[in-house]
Amino acid sequence: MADSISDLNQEWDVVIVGSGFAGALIAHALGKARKNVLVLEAGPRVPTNINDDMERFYTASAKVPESPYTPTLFDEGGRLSDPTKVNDGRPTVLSLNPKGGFGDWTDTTQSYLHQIGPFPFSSTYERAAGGTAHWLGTSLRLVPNDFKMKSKYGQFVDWPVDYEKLEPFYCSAEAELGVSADVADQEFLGIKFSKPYPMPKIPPSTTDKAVSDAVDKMTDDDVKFLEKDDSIKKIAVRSLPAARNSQPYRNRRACAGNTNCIPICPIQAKYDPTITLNDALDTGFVKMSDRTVASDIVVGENGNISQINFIKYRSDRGPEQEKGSVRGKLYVIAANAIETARLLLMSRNGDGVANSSDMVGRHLMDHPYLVAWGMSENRALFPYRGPLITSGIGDLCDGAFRRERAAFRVDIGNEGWNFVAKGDPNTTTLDFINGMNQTRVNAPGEALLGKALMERLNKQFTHQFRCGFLVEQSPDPGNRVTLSEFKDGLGLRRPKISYDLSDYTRKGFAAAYKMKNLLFAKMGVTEFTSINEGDPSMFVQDIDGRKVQLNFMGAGHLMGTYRMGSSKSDSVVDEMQCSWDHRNLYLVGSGTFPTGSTPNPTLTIAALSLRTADHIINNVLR
Amino acid sequence: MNDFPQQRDAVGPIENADEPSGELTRRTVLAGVAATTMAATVAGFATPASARDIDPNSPRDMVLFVLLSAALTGIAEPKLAPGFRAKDKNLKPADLAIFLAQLKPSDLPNLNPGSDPVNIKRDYFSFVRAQPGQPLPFEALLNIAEGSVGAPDREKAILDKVKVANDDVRYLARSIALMWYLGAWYEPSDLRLANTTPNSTPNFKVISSKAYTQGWALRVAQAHPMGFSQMQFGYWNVEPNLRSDFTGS
Repeated sequence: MADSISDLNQEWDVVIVGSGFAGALIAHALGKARKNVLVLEAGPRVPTNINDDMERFYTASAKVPESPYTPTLFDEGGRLSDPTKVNDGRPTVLSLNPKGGFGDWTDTTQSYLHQIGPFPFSSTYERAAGGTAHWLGTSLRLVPNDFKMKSKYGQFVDWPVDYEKLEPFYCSAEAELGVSADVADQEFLGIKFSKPYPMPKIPPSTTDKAVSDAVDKMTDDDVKFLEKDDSIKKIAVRSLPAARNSQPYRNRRACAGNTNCIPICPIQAKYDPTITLNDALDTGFVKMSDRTVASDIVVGENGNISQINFIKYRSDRGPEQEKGSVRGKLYVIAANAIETARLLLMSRNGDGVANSSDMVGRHLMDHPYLVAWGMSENRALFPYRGPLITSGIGDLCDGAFRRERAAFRVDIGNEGWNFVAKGDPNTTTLDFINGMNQTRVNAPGEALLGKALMERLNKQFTHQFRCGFLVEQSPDPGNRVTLSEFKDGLGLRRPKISYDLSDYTRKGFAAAYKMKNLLFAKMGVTEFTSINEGDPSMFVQDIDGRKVQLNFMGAGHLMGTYRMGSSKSDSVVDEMQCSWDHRNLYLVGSGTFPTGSTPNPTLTIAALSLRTADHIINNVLR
Repeated sequence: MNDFPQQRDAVGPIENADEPSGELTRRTVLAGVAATTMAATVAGFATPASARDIDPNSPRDMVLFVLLSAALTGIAEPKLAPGFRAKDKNLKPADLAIFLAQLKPSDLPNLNPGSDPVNIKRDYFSFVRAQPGQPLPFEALLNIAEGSVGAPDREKAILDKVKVANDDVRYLARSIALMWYLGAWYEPSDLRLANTTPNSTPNFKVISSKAYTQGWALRVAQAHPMGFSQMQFGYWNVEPNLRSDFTGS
């Protein structure tokens, strides 16, 4: 650990900004290759153990993804912390609420992101050593056609890499993270494996089995509207490959089904980047400076990056401690799709770096998430057991329909209505004890106690169901990160976001909506999905002649803002994630994804990072 | 060991519990308490003029708290308070359930409230007692529990009395049920406001990390509090144990 400024004052081989998935994996690979690496991390260092995080989580009244981690979400008065006073600020789902009240999404005294709409960008992240550790663990590969949207479907652009080139690095990433799955389950839509997974699949849940039984009842006629790919004869519910131990692996134990992956696994059976970060620091060649915010990427006379300036602070709401700069042969920015774009744009006095394409910040993508929930009328599903998600439907992620509309992937929730009903079990329990009806299942407003209460709550919880649809988002130049006039605690301009859903994406929502109706009908689930008054993510979509109100949540996937490509005029980085404009600058993470497709970005981030590290070690720094 | 060493009554403190006193025997005290409770039930106000100092260290008060909590939550006493048992008999769980279902007032001194290492009942008792404005309604609830021992359906007897008690007592009963279910404190006055004012949602505060992990809502669901599983890998692949294994019925 580099504790003093003078420790940082040497010519490093590589300086890495950010210690999440991309930063930690690259640091580790370089450290193993005996390269001197300095990691600058905006947030606090890896804690000795997660006890403080668990305490924060257990006592949080809003158990949102950010709740275990710092900076704390509320100030003393119970208001959302003012982002102008926080040094390592980040967005929270609590500031995605309707206008005019608590967590107003447009109120920059509550929201870290300056959101100008028309919709709120609804995904959040952490700024701490290890990055966004609140992830679920899902580790899916892209399907081969995901890399070729332009040549196969006439949409958007092709990636400058393809599945074959990335496949060996997918294998390395799966070994590093410790991914549990069975190859036989996962060879669909052209996916092939050169190596087996390191651990066998996570067993399906009782809820998964109910969904599977329902999907088995779907006839060809029922699913005609989906226009699924010819290679898919019957839609399958498949195990979700996950960086979650199904056996003891690398000194971490197997999953015990704490049903808490997001926001934090109490036993670290779920992989998070602090594991690789600690391995990197243990090589002896990697140092990290925490609470160190990169503030300016400085370009030298030859057009290469000459140094990165930073600001150090001690406490997240305290004054800045000191300023400094670091030098390296190479620089890697791994600060996530929003923070990396922000840093690039704010450099050179706001003129920006690496941006001759004018694409830095543009094509911001998420997987807008359509969520639905209901009550299983007859069959008990026994949710709230096992990992948050164990299975899903991926067979609908590719097909000729992508000429016309976005694809979607189906998530099967194992956590009942926890994600959707304002934090169940609290809401349903309060409804039945206090005669309220926030969940809409207690219309008569019964107030129960004793065995009647216990039996009713048992019946409610054991029959709850929720599912989600990750819809592919198109890369739109108008969806972008720019710089706000509003600043953070260090006086740095915060990200300003404009965000919308294209017609292509909305048509994907329409198909997902119809799939949801079909699934609920086959399962015997009565729907209870509702949209809150004033929900800023609400939109109306024409579906088979009817006007339907829909809304979306963020999936936690930030992509696209410094995309990779084959030429400098229409991309920011090349296929090795090296900036076209500055040949000693690498921009990594899902900000380089030219299209969003449907799988979670994390495994692809990891594979691309390992490929970049491999290139740096073998070709650049030799 | 004295069964109820810190016996107090509704009228005034006893000088010395060992001193025989014609008026202040346990029987008369309990009768007095029952009478107060009955009067309150009829009159609609339950809280006596002065409160005795209910005490989590008093086995009597703790036993009453467990009996009350079981009635409010519908979860069996030995589940809420591991080790809750008859002192002089070594009863198997099924026999203990029968014994507790047929509990008589003369059994009360013979009950051990249980001394499990987690002892969340003690945290909850102390917490409620420390909330401003709650000692009196809390005492009234304990008295309701005591006065219902011996009824053929003790839960029904307790809940019927709670239903017609004053608002302070009724809403505290709800707060106590919520506390056991969620490990969180919903202020009784907030619960009342939510019933009387449209669009009013009660806030809550998690009592402690320990309380969160002892919450019953998801055990009643035949699962476990999120973030606190004591199960083994793969358990989610098969249906859970019967509800009665979790809640006692």
